[in-house]
Amino acid sequence: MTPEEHQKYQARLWIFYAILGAVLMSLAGGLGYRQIIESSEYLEQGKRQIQRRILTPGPRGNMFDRDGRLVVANRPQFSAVVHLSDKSIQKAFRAEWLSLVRDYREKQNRPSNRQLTIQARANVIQSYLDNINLMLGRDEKVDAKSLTRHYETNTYLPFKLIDDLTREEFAILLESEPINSAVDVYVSSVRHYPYESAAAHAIGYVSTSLLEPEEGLPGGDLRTFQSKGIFGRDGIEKYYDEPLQGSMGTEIWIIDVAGNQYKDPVQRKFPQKGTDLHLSIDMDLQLVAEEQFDKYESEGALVAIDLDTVEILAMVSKPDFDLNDTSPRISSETFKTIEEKGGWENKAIRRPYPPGSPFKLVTAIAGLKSEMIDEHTVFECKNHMMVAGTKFVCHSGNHHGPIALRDAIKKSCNIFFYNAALRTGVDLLSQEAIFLGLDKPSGINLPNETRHMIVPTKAYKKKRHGMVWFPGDTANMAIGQGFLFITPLQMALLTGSIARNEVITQPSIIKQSPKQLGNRPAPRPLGLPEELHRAIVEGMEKVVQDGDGTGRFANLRDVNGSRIAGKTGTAQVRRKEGTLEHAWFVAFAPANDPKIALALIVEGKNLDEGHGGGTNAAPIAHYVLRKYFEKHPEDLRPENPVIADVSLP
Amino acid sequence: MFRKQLIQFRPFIALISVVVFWLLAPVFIKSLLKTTFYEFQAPVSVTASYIRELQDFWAGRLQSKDEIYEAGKDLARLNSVYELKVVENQSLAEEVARLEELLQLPSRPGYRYEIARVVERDFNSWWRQLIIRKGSIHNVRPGAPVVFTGGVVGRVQEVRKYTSVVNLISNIDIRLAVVLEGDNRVISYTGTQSSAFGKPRGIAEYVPTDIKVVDPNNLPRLLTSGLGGVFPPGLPVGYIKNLRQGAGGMFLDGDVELDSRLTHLNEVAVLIPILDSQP
Amino acid sequence: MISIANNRWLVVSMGHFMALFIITQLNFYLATVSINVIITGMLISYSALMLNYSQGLLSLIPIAFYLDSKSPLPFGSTLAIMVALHSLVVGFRNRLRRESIPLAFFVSQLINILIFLAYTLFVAGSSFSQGVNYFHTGLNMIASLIVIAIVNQSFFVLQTEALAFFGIRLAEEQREAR
Repeated sequence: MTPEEHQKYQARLWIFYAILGAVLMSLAGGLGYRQIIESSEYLEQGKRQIQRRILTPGPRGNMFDRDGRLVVANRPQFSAVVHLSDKSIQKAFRAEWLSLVRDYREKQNRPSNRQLTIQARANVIQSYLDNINLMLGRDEKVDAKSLTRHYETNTYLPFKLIDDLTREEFAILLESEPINSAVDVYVSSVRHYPYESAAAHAIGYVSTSLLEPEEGLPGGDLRTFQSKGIFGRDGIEKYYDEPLQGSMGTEIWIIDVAGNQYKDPVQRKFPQKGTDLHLSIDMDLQLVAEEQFDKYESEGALVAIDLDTVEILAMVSKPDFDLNDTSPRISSETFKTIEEKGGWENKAIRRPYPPGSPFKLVTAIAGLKSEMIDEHTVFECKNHMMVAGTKFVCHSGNHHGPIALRDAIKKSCNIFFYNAALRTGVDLLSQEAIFLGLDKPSGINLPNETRHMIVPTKAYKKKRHGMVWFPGDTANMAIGQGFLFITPLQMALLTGSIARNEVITQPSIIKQSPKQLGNRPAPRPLGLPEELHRAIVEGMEKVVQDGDGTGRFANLRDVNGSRIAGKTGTAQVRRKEGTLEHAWFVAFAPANDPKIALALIVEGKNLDEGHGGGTNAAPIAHYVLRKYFEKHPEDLRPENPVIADVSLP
Repeated sequence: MFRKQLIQFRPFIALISVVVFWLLAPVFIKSLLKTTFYEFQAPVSVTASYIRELQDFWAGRLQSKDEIYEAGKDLARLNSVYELKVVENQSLAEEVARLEELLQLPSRPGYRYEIARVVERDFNSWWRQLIIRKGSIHNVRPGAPVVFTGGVVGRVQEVRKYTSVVNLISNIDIRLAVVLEGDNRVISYTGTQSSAFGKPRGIAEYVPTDIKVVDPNNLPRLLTSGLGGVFPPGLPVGYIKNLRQGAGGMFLDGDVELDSRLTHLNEVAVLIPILDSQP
Repeated sequence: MISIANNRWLVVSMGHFMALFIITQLNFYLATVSINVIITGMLISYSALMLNYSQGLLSLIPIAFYLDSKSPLPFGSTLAIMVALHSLVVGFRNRLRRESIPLAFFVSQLINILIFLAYTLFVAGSSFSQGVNYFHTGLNMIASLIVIAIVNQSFFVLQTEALAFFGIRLAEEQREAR
């Protein structure tokens, strides 16, 4: 080889050196190159045309009871889905369409192009489904209508073929379906309620719907497809919907010109689970209370409150429903069944009832505070008395004779309280009820608390009924009848206020942190001097602790130190056909250092049927309080003398 | 002049012709060619594996008599332990069978183990497969589960006359329904790219949120669930090394560390279902 | 009568097959450290530089089929890649001095890199991929480059000697051609 030749070839060899170098350089610089390209404005514009955004709502937060037990959770729902935007599916759609067109060529009545398209899609998806049916031994059919709707509106979201796969079926599909198949397994979250119907109304239920995307999610300017999310329809689920909602996940996918989706998203933000809530409800008390209601198929409501924190310990409303029947969706049949039995309403906060005899405690407070009566004031009960020409009787034909406050409460003597109220006057009586907060919603952190509670005044009667106030109205009001209407929650708060000698409002169904408790507004004093307050409490304690007290079925004689103060009542609701009697019982315990207050109402089932707080409502309270003391033996006060031994004046 | 230019472009014309021909070639021709070429080279690979065994044999011959004696003693000890275990297992199996009969449980599919030597290990960064020395004449079928003493190896991908291709469990297209030891919730296991020089890996999806990885020496172990219908239950798959937030927000995803022996397997067992013979 | 000169591709193909066989045995042991060596670039380089286009192509087709028969990629992928690269080298080889050893070395390395790129592209586009581990691919590529760097010259010499054994003297033919 001549030197010239050598030089010539050597020069050409350098070209190869250069190419090799360039390839290696481009490999090393690949990452940086991509970074530069991606940040360029030019490609940003292109992105909008070729990228699609998919939003997936995050799972909702769980709920725990005050002892940390899981009350509301998310259950995975395993589904078999098909990705309609998958290339293989798109190809199969076209092939099937052509084959249908060929089939119909010779036939007379050829369907329209749209009908053929719908049929082609349904046939293809059915063939995939048939394959799954074969594996799982099922016989599922594709709904062409929902398939078309899904294809046209949510092409890039997976279309559910079967949405209730069992664990075994899920496993079979996992192992049998090739990983690159258009058919996939998909897991979504649905609400699950381990305690079924317990505290159903307080917890509330959920529905599925498209949710408003959060601010600041990437790809806001891209065409977006969104999976349905879950939102709270009632109860805590509704009131705390925002914190319970997780944050949405975002996936940005590249789409080719034919609309096919590439295999992996270019950007992905995982959805985040919502905040967990710790309820103030004690499931043990809740379950005991519900069990007692269910035992006699009773309807009504119960509210129990922790008096140290003004947190709800139990909230019952009967009839109720199994929350699991509402998840993942409420069928129209289920809705109708619950609707027919009146199960949707949370009676504890939604339904005002006449308060009946427990309101006599308010009458007593008004009388004592206005000094129209004192703890020793005696009225003569001769079974009946005339008020402005109308005969007012003591209940059940009783003849109590001369009677003072403590015994009047114990025996629930109407005559005593008619007299006390007439002496006090309706203005002061109404004022006291309003002072106790009975005329307005309690402000509990639950939605739909009624505003239709009524504490009548002269002005109210004039305005509402166009009539003047009669002394008979005062007498009626004194025993919790007439125009008065109060919810069971308010009755529980009233009981708590009497127990604590201070007005308590704004109960919480969420467990409060020490900081939140510190921020609570200071309670207003009830304004009863200590000895007068004690007189009322003593009267209430006699109701339960004395062997002949009206509320004796609530006592816990075998539990030393379980001093219960209570008041029974029967609220009469007059209907055209007759009178319906609801049984009330309110109580707090221990009497000398109250920790828990409760109010419950058991609705009468039949018209004109005798129904009393002592027999129908007090036994339920007995079981709830027993459970409370079982769990809180430290709240028992055995060292204190039993109040029933205190001699009467 | 024109002819010279044509000669210059001949390679590219030939290239285009080959590609076009190949695109239009019927599938049966391709599959025939694939099988032919595979079977053509198979004896060479198989012979190579026999030669390797011979190498091992001669390497073994180089060991001193004392060493062989010691190894023999160890083996005898192990054998006696295993004999005991076999008896124990037999009685346990009988007990299980009795209980299953008592509870009227459906009979589980039985498997026969077909032991196979590994002929080739084709582990690159794109796929990982083994070629084993058992094929269709040994009743190996595509999709059959393959195991070794450490647990799951993978699934049979292709079956030839005397050899089979096994898709390793760390391959991206392998998915299993697994459970955690002592738990019955189904978790999805998928293979993933292994780290260079690292152990083969996989990904666990749908791991319940109450599962924690606390002690690195006591990682949660994944076993086959037996629910998917391919693998019998209870075979070890790997260990969950770490957990992170999963795609749906409801579950966790985790990296699965597979048995490091998977990269140097010499012998595996193909599970062949025993079909209930009709009387 | 069959002319060995017109069927030299057969000799080369057998040589390629032997080389692949040895590398397969190497890979069997390297698999324990997750390394996989690919030398296909070297084989293409020999066929493209040392044989004429048709003979080179013929020598590569059986090798491509052999590789395809063992790969999970669609049958024919390796064939397409190899034929394309062979054509590419043949297209450019007239401008270079073919028998130069450094040139053979660089062509082998370059083609091998392109093979890695092509495989990665095929895998990324195929159904069983969920992304490619670039680090691992890069590591395998470097390992392959090292192996080729070591064996390239010997391979070329051995293949040429094998042809010479059948009376085909490439160097003389090339000199005569010039």
